[in-house]
Amino acid sequence: MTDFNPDDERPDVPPPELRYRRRVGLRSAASQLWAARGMVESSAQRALRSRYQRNLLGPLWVLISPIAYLLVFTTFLRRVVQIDTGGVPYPLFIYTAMVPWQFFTAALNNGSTSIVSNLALIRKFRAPSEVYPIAMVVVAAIDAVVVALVLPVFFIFSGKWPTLTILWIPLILLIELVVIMAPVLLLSALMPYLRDLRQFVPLALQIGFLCTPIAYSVDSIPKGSRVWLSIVNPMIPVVDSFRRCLVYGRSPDWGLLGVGLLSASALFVVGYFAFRRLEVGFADVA
Amino acid sequence: MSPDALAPGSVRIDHLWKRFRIDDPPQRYGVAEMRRLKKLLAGDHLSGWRWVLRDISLQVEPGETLGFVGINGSGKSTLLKIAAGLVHPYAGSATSSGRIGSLMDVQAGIQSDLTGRENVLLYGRMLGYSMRQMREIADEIIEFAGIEDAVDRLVKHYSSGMSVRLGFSIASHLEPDILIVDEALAVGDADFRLKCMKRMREVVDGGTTLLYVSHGLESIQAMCKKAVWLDGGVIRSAGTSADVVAAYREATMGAIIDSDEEVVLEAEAERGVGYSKTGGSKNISLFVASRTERAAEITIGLSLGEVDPFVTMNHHVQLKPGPNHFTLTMHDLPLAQSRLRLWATVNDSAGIALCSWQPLLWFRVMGDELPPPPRGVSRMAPIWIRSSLAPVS
Repeated sequence: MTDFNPDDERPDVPPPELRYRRRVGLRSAASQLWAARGMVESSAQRALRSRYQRNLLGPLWVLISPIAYLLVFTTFLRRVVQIDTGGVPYPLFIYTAMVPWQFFTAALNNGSTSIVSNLALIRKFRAPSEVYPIAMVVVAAIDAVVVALVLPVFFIFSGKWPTLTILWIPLILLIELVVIMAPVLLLSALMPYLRDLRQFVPLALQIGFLCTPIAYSVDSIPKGSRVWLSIVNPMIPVVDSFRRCLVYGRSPDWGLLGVGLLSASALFVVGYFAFRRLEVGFADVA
Repeated sequence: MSPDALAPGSVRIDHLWKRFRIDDPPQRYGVAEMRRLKKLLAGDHLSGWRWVLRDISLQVEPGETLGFVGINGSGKSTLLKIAAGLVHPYAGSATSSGRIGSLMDVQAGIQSDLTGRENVLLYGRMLGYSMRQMREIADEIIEFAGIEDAVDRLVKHYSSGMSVRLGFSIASHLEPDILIVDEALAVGDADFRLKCMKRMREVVDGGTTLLYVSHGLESIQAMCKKAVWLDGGVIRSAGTSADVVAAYREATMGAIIDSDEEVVLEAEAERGVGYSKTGGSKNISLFVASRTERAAEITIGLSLGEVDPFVTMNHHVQLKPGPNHFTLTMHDLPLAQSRLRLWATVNDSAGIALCSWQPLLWFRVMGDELPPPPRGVSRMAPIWIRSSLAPVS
């Protein structure tokens, strides 16, 4: 049953060829993930429940942040700065952009801490650790749907209606998913080792909010710098294309969107492999 | 080796190494990290770490029962966690195949912000059961855990006993190929512990592989055919559980003899979880480690709960230096249904105590119910138990 070395034959350190390398093929990773879908479901459920426990307003809180921003921008910012919306009423202009942005911030805020806050479970359940960030992205998607449910109100008041270009929206959201998953995987895997990131993420999101055409139009960004800015911040083309398709009835800016997708995909690959690599130590980090 | 090549229920551990960090003072994380980084760049991968498992190799075939003994910190729990796939090794490999039901600590995979029933359903889904299958067995699991009243409450409001019961019940009812139990049962009350041992036996008889860590050597012997003794992260000995437990006991008792105690006493019920009947007999193994050769008197007592014994028995013995093994037999137990503690001490021939008068273990007598209070355990007064003490070679 067992073979064991007497002490004198035992090396002090493992020979290098024995070093453990975690090898998980993409296909088996996918099938493991699929097998653990119940875990995603329950994690998401748990997050939603604990968020609204002993909360008077419950799910309404999801709406409060975009609406608060909306109020500040319409009543205050617009009086100070001239913003060209291309003939679209400003509340509609800004609220449309809030939908993809809400998805992005909620996913990053909760997704990046998902490993740290679930360390106790990671030590107990044999499941791929990706389930925890994915569950948070699912919750963020639900938030975004709640925000989007209010959109018709703005359309009614502005008298404008989406055209057939609305059909591009699912594709844009798919691209946004890549844009979201890339930093979520990277940050969530790093956070157990570097807790400073917990402070860093909200700050980065605030800066990101200002650097993304939400309160202003993408046309305000000089044409020459749009490409490299989209590489740094792929949310620029995502938010812009979302608004173009929904409000302006135009197709997405494919060039810019492609650049953003490329940059996000590169980060996704880095993030995924970093996650895989760092996952090995999750259960050991106190 | 690919996991598919293993039959469900087998575990292969191959030259496994695992290390943990030597903890840094938390307020100097940055400084410590910088130092670590500097060392790492200089090619030093090892300082600042301590090994918890060194070059462990094990094979467990489907249906085998393997117990682990060893002092705290010897690496038992870490080894089980790696076997369960919860912790990754540093070097070597650990592969286990099939469904794993694991009960690692008090919380035992139970999520505290779900209700009891939700935990049952979730755990089942994690092990690959469909929601429909789970609804069918959920009631059985809940009934076994004895938490019918609390099943729709959040687990964080459970007592620790309740959550262990739920954890064990889930882990043992989902027909795992491998059942891993680590010490957790120590939390439950004696009745539940007994129920768990019975249930574990059933599961094991059904062909499930068992990996079992316990400080209760008797339960290791009762549950496991084979055992492994871990010491400082290496396998000190492995083989049948009787041999390993005997070797471990001898070594630990030897270690205590190194202390300033004159005599060390341990007792063990012969069958791990056996009942005795009113009028039947009860066998207890006594292990007495003595520093010198001497004549001595062993006094045995029985008590109800933690109070002083209500009956004592004396036996004169000749102790040889080192470990001595006796079998104590109590005949024709004149006791009604009760749970009893066994006390023991050793005096020298002049009546001077060589070790303290202490409760050593509990056992149970099944039989007629007691009359309503005021009650006594014995049917006759004064109580007297005929007993004999025989050395075991």
